[in-house]
Amino acid sequence: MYEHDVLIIGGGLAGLRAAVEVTRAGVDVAVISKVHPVRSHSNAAQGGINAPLTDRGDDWESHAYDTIKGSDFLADQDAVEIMSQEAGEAVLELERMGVIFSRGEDGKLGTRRFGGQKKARTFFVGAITGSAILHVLFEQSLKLGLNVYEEWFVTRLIIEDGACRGVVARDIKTGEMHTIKARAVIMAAGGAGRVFEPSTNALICTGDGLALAYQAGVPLMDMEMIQYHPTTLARTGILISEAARGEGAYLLNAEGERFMHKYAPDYMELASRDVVSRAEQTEIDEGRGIEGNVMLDLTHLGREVIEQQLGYLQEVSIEFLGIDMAEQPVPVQPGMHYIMGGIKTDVDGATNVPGLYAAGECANVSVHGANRLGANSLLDTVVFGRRSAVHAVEYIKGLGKASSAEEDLAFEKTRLQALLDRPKGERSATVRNDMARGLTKGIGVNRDQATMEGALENLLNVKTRLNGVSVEDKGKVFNTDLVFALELEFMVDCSEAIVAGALARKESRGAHYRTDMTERDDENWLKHTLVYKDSSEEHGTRVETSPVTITRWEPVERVY
Amino acid sequence: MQVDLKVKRFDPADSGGRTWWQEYEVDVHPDSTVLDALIEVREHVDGTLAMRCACRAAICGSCGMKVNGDAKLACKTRVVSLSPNGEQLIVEPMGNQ
Repeated sequence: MYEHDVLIIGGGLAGLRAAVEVTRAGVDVAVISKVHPVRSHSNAAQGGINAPLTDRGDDWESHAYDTIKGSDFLADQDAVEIMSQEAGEAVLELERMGVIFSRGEDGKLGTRRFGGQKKARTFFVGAITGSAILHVLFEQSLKLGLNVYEEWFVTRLIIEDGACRGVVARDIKTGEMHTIKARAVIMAAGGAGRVFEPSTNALICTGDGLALAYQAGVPLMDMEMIQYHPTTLARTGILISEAARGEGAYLLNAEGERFMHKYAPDYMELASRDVVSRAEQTEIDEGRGIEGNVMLDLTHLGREVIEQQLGYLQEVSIEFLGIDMAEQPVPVQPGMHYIMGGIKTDVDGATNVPGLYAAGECANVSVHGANRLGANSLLDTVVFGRRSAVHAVEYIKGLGKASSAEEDLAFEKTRLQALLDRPKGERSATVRNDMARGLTKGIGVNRDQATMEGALENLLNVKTRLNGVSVEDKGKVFNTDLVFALELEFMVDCSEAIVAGALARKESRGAHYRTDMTERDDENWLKHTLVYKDSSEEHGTRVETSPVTITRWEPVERVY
Repeated sequence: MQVDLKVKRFDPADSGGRTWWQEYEVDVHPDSTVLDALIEVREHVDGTLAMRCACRAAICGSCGMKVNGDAKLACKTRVVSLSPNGEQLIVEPMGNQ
């Protein structure tokens, strides 16, 4: 019998920060994660975490405005205000917990400049900030005695009387299916990068959380907002942090020109990511690329700066491409990296399903709107991870857990057994590859009606093949083949929502850039898209819209 | 590029602790890593090959395994660095001692 007051799905930054907060409130909590918590994709975040600290002559309004402008005015300003106001304390608290942030010569927490911001307010640990923070939060959870269902895979949310009351999950190590009842569930299962190919994301980023919430009736908001990071390593797609540009690296085309002056004369390489990615794509498409890449030049920074501040990047460059960044520029190209879109929540992480919360990359408050600023995701995770926990702790008072989850468990056991029993068909990897390549082609840095319809057509074809996917491994113990088939189904749900959102938004805004509708249309489209799973609709989706919350910053033209 | 793998397998459900060696041959990009080759196996040849891996960017630590007797992160171990002339790669789980 597994039951808790609060159950958190995902052991990354948002999940662990929430777990720490719930434990501090003296409430029974557990984390369920399909990987050991420190293997969560939060560990791959490199560059840093933003915080406006007043003792540096910074102010929260400046960070909030940069974030809102970065979002191309799609972010909900009340949520951004909260994030910017809480940022300072969030980062200082991490430092007190033991994150060994890099420091300047004066011994103070050192900052670097990050995209879309004039002020240097990004705090960092070399080029491994996410990993450093994740390890510290994991230590804190160990200290607090946190219960972790490690390598357990959630297959379904338990919804009883319209509220979320737990999960059905498979213990990957034994193959046994269980229910875990809870009074509230916080979804912190991360992004969906593997829905694209290539992507900077880990193999585990399969949109499980997004799909589970979507299946439970929660709308996915602004799913067309896909961030292509400007500097992903040629061929491997491995992320090269914005921190390189923050420390002064240049972007050069085949003519050795710092081409950003044509697209963002003020911010140059540190314009918002969508602007930089589009600039690179234009250079490449117009023949000024080098084998589909542009060059990231760090040679003028000097070996010491590279090794001290960007050590991990140098390691990656040498290990994977055999290039010494101090000697030569590195070939990079835009690569799918982050999804601004996600589970619609309010500023406390609550969704339209009572008892179901969401925080981190899987959620969309919205603080990132149509484009996320670098170093704002790490901030998002800890701020809203904490807030979800605080709200969940209040919500559960006086509430019961799932009364009986027998039906859900039986349903899932039958469903999974049926999957295992399917006759030999296609492997999940083949279908996933086709789906991901098709989606990337249709919903890339640039898109138009034709490419997006192409993505839809590709997806419809993939859906017809879904029930024919078979699993070679029929065993119970550590059956990753089965897990991949389940993840594929989640990925198809995410794809469906992405395509629906993309076709719905008839304008260009932030990362959603339509070459057939290049202008931003505030009059008609200053709104969020909401995609609901709806089997009565043509492609299984229903798109609605909702207004953007404007507090003090009227949308203006966005120029970098 | 053809990669020759010899992988130590075991069945956790078998309480006898039996292990066996299984050989695979896959065709991958010349710059591939050991992990790339293993993923090629599990995606196209043998779906029962289970291993832990995630980031494939040498940061998460999941893919620690023994390759040719040495503990390595498979995702950052280039095949050509260990087998420049197509020599067989021996892959085993990380040791416990």
